[in-house]
Amino acid sequence: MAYHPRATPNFRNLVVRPMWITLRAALRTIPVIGPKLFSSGYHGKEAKMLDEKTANRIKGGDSDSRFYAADRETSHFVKSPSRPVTIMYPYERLEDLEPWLFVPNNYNGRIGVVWETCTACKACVRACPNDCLHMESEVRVNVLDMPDASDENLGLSTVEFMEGGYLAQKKEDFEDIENTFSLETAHESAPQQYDFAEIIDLSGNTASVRWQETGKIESVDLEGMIPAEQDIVSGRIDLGRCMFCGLCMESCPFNSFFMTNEYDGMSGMTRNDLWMDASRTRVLPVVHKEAVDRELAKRADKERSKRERAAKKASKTKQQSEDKPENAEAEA
Amino acid sequence: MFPQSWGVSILVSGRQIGDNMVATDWFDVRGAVSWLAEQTMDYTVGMTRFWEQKYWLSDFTAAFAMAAIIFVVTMLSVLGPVWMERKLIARLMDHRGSTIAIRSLWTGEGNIRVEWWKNLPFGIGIPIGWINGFLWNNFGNESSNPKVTQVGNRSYAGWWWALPGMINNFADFTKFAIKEHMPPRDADTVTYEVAPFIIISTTLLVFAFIPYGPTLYAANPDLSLIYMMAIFGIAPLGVFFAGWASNNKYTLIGGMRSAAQLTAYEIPLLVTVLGIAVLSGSLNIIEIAEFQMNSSEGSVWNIFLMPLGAALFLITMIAEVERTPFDMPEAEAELVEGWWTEYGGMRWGLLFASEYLRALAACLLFSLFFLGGWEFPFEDSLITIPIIGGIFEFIFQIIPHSIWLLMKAWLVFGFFIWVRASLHRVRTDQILEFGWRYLLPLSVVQLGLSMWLRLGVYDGGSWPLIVPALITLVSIVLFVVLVMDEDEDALAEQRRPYHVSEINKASPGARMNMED
Amino acid sequence: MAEMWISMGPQHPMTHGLWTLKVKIDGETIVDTIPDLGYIHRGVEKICEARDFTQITPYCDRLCYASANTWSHSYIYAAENLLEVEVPERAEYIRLIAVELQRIASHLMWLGAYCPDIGNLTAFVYCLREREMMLDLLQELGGSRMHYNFPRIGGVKRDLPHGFAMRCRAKVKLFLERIHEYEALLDESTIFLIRTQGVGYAKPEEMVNHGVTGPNLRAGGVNYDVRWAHPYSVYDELDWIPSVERSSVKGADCYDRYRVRLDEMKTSADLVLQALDGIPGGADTYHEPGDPALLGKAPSRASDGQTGFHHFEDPRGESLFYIVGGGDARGKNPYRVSIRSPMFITIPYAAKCMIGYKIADVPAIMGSFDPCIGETDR
Repeated sequence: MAYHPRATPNFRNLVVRPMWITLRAALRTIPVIGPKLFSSGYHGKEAKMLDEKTANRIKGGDSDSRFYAADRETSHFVKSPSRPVTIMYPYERLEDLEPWLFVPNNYNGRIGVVWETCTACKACVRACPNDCLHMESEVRVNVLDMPDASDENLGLSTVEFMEGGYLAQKKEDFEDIENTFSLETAHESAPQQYDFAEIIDLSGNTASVRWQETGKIESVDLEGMIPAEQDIVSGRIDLGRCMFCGLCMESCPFNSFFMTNEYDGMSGMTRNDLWMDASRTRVLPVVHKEAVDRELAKRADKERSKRERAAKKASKTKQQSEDKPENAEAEA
Repeated sequence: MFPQSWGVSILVSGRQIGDNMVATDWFDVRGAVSWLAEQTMDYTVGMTRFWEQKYWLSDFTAAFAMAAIIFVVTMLSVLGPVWMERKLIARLMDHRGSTIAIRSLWTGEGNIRVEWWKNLPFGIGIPIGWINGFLWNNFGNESSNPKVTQVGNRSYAGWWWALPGMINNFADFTKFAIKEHMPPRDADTVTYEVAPFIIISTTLLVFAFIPYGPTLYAANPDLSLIYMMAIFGIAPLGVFFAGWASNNKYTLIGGMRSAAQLTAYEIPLLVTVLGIAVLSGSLNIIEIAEFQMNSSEGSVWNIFLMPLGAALFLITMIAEVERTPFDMPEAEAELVEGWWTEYGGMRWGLLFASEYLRALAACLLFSLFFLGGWEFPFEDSLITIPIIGGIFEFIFQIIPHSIWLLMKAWLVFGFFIWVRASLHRVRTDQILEFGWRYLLPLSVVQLGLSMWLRLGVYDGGSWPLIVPALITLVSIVLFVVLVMDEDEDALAEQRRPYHVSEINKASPGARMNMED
Repeated sequence: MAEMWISMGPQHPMTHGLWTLKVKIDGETIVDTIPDLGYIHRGVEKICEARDFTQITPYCDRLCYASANTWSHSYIYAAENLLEVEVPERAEYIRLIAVELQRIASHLMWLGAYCPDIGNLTAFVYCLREREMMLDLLQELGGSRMHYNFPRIGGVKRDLPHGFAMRCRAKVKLFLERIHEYEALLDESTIFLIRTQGVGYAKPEEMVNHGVTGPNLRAGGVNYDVRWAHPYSVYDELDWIPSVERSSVKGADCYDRYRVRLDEMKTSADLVLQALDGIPGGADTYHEPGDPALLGKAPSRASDGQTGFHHFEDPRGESLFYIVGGGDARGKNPYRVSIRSPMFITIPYAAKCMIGYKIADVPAIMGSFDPCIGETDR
C-alpha cells in the first residue's frame, strides 16, 4: 500500500541510494554518453507533444524539425545534450518553443479588444469582479436617422427599436436650440437636442419606456420616435487591478473581448501607466479570426434575415395592392 | 637550482634538500625566495656598517615573503572549490544553472550594457572593461559564429568547457567590500568584533603549515601536525563568541550547537590523526606526505593502509567545516544563517571565505595524509617503464608537483559537494550521538590498528605489497557486506510495514486494526 | 540555559506562508508553542458577499494559491448545491482531471519545500522539475499556471484543448516513473528516516476529536477520505483506493504523513489516466465553450435563506463551503459564504504536536502537516 519496502535506517541507506541518484543526475550532463548511459528511461525521452491543430496555427509550421520531450529536456531546434531546461528569455520565448501552451483565447494573457465589433454593451464591465474595466458611452441617434438628413438618406441606419435599446424624441425647443445656440458666446458645449429613453417593453406600435432625464416610466407611441443606440466614447482597463480571471471575455456577447497571449509589456512607472486604453488594447481582427468571423456571420445573418423579411413584406403588400385592383376590377 | 639558504631557524625551514626528498623539480619557491632575500640583504645591509644584521634580516624577509606567497596561493586555490561547488551542485541537482549565468554579467541587448565595473574604486575596473569588450566582441550574442547565436547556446563562450563563472567570485567580493557594517544595537561590541578575527585568523594560520609542494610552504617545524591541529581547533571558540555576542536568540542557539558539534568531532579527528602519525612515523606533515611517496621502493598511499581512518577523517572533517549533512548550526530553515546571521559586509564575506578555506584545508590535509601528497599516482613506477618512461619523466619534471596536490584536493572537495547534494541535515543531538558513540570508538580502533601495523608489520623501509592489498580488500568486502545487510527483522517488526486487508467505505472515525 | 521564547516568523525561512510560531524552549527542547495567524487575512468571505456567484470563483482560487483548482472546485460544488444545478458528465470528468493534476502539483510543492527544511536541497529542484510538467498541463487547461478560474457553475470553462490527452498521458506516465527517484532519494536515505521517523507523533483519536482531516488523518490509520466516504463528482466510477497508513500505537509521525502524500500522488496520477480513458465523448473531441456537454443551465439568483453546502477533499484536508442565498435583497450575490479551511483547524493541533521535541524538529513537524497559510487566514 503506502509503505516502502526498504525504508529502514541502516548502513546501506546511509550513503548508497541517495548519492547514486545525485551522481547519476550529474553524470547525465556529460555531452555525448551521459544521456545514453544514465537516463533510466525517464529523462529527456522524445515524446509527441505537438498536435495538428497547433502545428497549423503556428506561423511557418515546420513541426518536424523540432524535438520534444515530455519534461522539456530536449525541446529545441537542435538536440543538444547539455541543453538546460531553462528558456533563455528574452532570446527565446516559450510560445516559440512550446506553442500548445499559448493558444489564443485559452491563455489568460493581457486583454485585447476588437473595437470594430464592440457595441459598448458594458457586459464586461458588469462581469469584472475587481472593477477594473471602465467604459464611457453615451446614447446617440445614428446620423442616418437624424432629421437633418435629406429624405432619401433618412431611415437607412441599422438601428431599430428593440427591448433594452433606446429611443429618442426631439425636444420641443429643438428648433430654438438649433437657431439660437452660438458656440462663440455660450462658452459651453452644445446641448442635447433629444430626450432619450430606455425601452422596457415593446409591443406593436407602442412601447413602455423609461425617460433618462426624469426617470418616469410611461407608454408612448413609436410614431415620431427615432431609434437610438449606445455608442462607446472611451474604454480602458486598469491592469493594476486585473486578476486575469477571464470573466470579461466570457461575458462579451459580441465576441469582441479576448485574452491575448501576451504576458509582456504590461509594466509602467506609475499606476496610471497601467491603465490601458483603446489604443493599447487593440487586437488585430486577424489574430482571432475565427471568433471575429463568427460574430460577423451572426450579424450578417441577422441583417440578411431582416432584409428578407422586409422584401417579403414589400412583395406581399405589392401583391395585395395588385390583388385589390384586380378584385375591384373583378368585382366591377 | 638555487643554493639553499644558510642558517636554520624555526621560521624558515627545518630540513635540507636531500633529506629523504623524493619528488623535486625546478619549482623551488623557497630556494628562490631565500636566495633573493639573501642577495637583497647582501647588497643593501651588507654594504653598511650593520652588516652583521644581514643574516637574520634575510631570514626574516624570506619568511615574510613566503607567508605572503602562501597567502596568495591559498586565496587563488580556494577559487577552485568555490567555482566547482556551483557547477557540480548544478549538475547534481539537475539544474545546471550557473553555466549560463555568465550572461547575467553582461546584461542587455545590442549596445545596452550594465557596466558595473565602472563603480569600482581606483579605476581597477578598467581592465575588466577590456575583458568585457573582448568577450562581447568575439563571443557575444550577435556573432557570425552560428554556434554562438543558435537558440540554446547563448552564453558568451560558446563552449561549455570555457569555465564560465569564475569572475562571479570577484564580483562577490567586491559586493561584500562595499556593503555597510551594521552591528546590532545591543551587541557585545568587543566580542562581536573580535569573533570574526579569531575565526578568520586561525583559519588562515592553518595554511602556514600546509605544504603545497615539496618546497612551497610557509613554515615547517618538526611538530607541524600538532601545531596545525591545535590552531584548527581554536575556531570553535570564535564561533561561540560570535553566537553569543550578536544579541540574537537564533545565533545563540546556533553558537551553542556549533560549539557542541565541533568539540564533539575534534576528538575522533585528533585520534584519527594520531593514527596517521603513528602509521607514518612522524609528526611532521611533509614527512607524512613523503612517507607515502616513492612507490618503487614500497611506499604505499595511506588510504590503502588505513581506509577506515580515511573514512573517519572525511566524516569528522565534514563536521568540522560544518557542511551538510552536519550544518545544523547554520541550518537555514530554522536559524537563517546561524551564528553568523548578524554579520554583514566584509565580515560575512570573510566568514564565508573561511568556511571554504577550512574545507580546502581539510581536503588538502586529506590529500597529504592519505592520497600521497604531491605525487602523481604511480609516479615512480611510471618513470621506470622502458620506453614511455622518458616521456613521463619529462612531464613530471615540467609540471610542478603542487598541481597534483591541488588536483587531489579539489577532487576530495568534489566528494564533499556530492555528499552535500545528496544527504539531509542531521539533527544536533543525533550528530552528537553519532560522534561520541560511533566515531570515537572507531577512531580508537583505528589507532590500535595503525599501531599494530607500524610496530608489527612495517619492516623499517617499505610495505610488503600484500599488506595494503589485503587491507583494502577486507575493507571493501566489509563495506559490501554491511551494505547488503537488509535487516529483515527490523523490516518485519518495524512500524512501517502495513498490509491492509480490506478497505471498506468507512465513516469518519472508522479505522483499521492497529496491532502492536 | 533558561527557558526562553523564540519567535519563528513572520519573516523566517521555515514558515510555509506568513505566520508566526512562538516556541518556548528549554535548551533545545520545546516546552510550549503559540501559533500566531492572521497576517494575510484578506477578508475573502466578506468580499464574496459583494460579488456574483460567478465572480466569486477567482477569489476562491486565491485562497490556497498552491492548490488553486481544488479551492475553486470546492466552492463551485457548494454553489451548485445551492442553486440545484445538474452538471453534465463530461464536465465532471474534466473537473476531476483538473483537480487531480492540481493535487499532484500541490503535493509536489509540499515535498519540494519539506526537503530543504530537513536539509536536502536536491529534492527541491527535482520536485519542482516535476511540478513544471503539471503546471504546463494546467496552463493548457486553465490558461495560467497558478490561478485558473476554471470551473463554472454547471460545468467547466472550456473543453480539453486539442492534443491535451496526448501530452497529459506522456507527462503523467513520466511522472509515475520518476516517483521512484524520489523514493530512492528520500525513503532509502538513513538521514531522512532518522529525521522524520519518531518525531511529531499525532494520535488518531486526538486528530479526530480536533477535526484534523486529509493526509494528516490518514497517516494515523483513519480511513477517511471525502472522495471515498461521501463520493462526489465521478470518484465512485473510477478504480482507486485512498492512501492510508497504519501507524504505530504512538500515532502518526512525520514519515507516515510523507508516505501518505507520496502515495496520493501516485493515486492521483492513476486517476488522471483513468479519467482520460473513460471520459464520455472521448478525450480528443472538442466542444466549444458554452456547449451543453460542458455547461449545464444554472440560475443566477438564490432565494432568501436557501443554503448550499459541500465538503471536498483538498490536498490538505476536508474543505467545506457553506453558502446562504440572499434572495432579492442581495440580487445575484450570496448573503454569506462561509469557508472551512482544514489548515486553520490543523495548525493549532500541529503546534501542540511539537511539544517535547527539539527545535531542530520544528521544521520537520510543521512541514509535514503541509500548512498553507493562504487558506488558513482567508
